[in-house]
Amino acid sequence: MPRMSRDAAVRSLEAQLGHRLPEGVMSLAAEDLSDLAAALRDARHRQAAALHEAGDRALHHIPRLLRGPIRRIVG
Amino acid sequence: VNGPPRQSRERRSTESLEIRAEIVKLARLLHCEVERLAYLEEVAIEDLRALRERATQTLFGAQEGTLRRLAAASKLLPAGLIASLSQHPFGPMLSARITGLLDADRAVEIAARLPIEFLADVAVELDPRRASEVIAGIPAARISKITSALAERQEYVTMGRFVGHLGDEALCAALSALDDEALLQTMFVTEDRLPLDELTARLGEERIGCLHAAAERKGVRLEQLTR
Repeated sequence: MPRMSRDAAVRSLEAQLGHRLPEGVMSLAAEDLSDLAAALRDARHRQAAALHEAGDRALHHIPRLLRGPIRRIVG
Repeated sequence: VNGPPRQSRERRSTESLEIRAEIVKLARLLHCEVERLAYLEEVAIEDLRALRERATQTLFGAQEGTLRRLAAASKLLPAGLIASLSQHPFGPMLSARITGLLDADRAVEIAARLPIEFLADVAVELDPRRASEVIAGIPAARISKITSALAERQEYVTMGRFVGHLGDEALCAALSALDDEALLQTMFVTEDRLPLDELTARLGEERIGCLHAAAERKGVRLEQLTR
């Protein structure tokens, strides 16, 4: 995994968290900030992928009659 | 040479346990190894809590629109089918994300149809503050069984997060389900310390005496783990 610069890691974390970083976290080494940003990004991507896959699979377990109305609600 | 005063040593010891517990919680949230986040050990506890809080908001807020629509769609399906879908394909992480978005009575009805081990899996992933009403609706007997399952896995950090969200009867059931070691480990890391007199009232003088002795053996006083 390519390491981000310190500024890029801080920007990535703050953008993902929607907040300024707490002071103690801001003082971490660049490579640690970079790792934390990557861990959070990976968790977000994993969650999005899991939700997408589960949504698709769930439809196969639902009675045919209800699939249309469920699709209309979920979109 | 005398070391630092005992109270100062004890305070540092409980602080480092709190820091460790925060790192475990963040690692659970991010689904990564605790060791990977070892660099956070030097960060102050308040900053770690703020970081975890924001990461929780980020992950529980992500895809919230889709999760809300799924929760709305679930009203069309029987509770048994929802319970089955929760286990597969949704699994514990997504089930935990959706729990707080369901009508609480409906979520309790679904939880009643889920196996204890799966509920323990969901508990690890859940933010109890987002599902307080659901947790409060789960019968004490089931809370006792979920507690035993979590204790078996040594999930003290998870149990510690739930302390402040259990009703009286459920709390008594949970406390009774834990042996002294598991209870102390949970008390070390809980965010909601119980008052000592309340703990004494719930557990009785005899067990409190055992807990005092067990805490002493670990180099802390029970008073430090209560409020």
